[in-house]
Amino acid sequence: MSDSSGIHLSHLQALLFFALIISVAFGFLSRRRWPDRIKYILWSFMLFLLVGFGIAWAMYPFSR
Amino acid sequence: MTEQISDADPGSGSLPATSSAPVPPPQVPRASGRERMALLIGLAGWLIPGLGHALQKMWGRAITIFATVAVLVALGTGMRGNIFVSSGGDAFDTLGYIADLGTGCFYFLARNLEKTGPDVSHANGDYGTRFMATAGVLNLLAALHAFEAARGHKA
Repeated sequence: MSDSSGIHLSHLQALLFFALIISVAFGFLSRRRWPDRIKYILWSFMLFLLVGFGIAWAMYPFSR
Repeated sequence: MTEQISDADPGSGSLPATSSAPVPPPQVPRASGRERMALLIGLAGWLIPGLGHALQKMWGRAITIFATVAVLVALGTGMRGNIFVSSGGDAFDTLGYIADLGTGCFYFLARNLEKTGPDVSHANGDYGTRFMATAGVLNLLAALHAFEAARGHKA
């Protein structure tokens, strides 16, 4: 994942990592109670993945 | 006697309100001490991610913001993303610079961390550019959140 020329993430790894870290930040910023935060993080994470995969599939016919 | 009633309650009785009642000076909107403190807290939150919340003893949010921005900046530079400078040629460079500058002190750290320079010819470098910009915009959002919380708004 990391060598002398920098860190290498696959497309999926980048998507998963981005979705997770932004969901956690949003959850902590927008909710006070822990149960609400966890629910918000999970919901946001799922939506990130859903939209990401949706856009990926929508772009598939034009990718070649 | 009639004058006294008129002073006490100009809207009551059959007599119209007279202009003899003392008129309060017009209130000029001024930034109160709380507003100034909120502004300083917002500024601190921008300069050092999470500091705005830490000053208000919101430890969970402070740690999360700091860690999130730090990890995104570290990954962005590690993936050799582009770190924009103020002397950009077009509007996209300027927007990128504003977004990157949102990371506060991490912007200057990132410029020193990225020794080999950006490489956006591969997807990794492009992702790194986005990670860096996201860190900046997220920190700006957090600083605004800290500012609103310091003003007493629900946060």
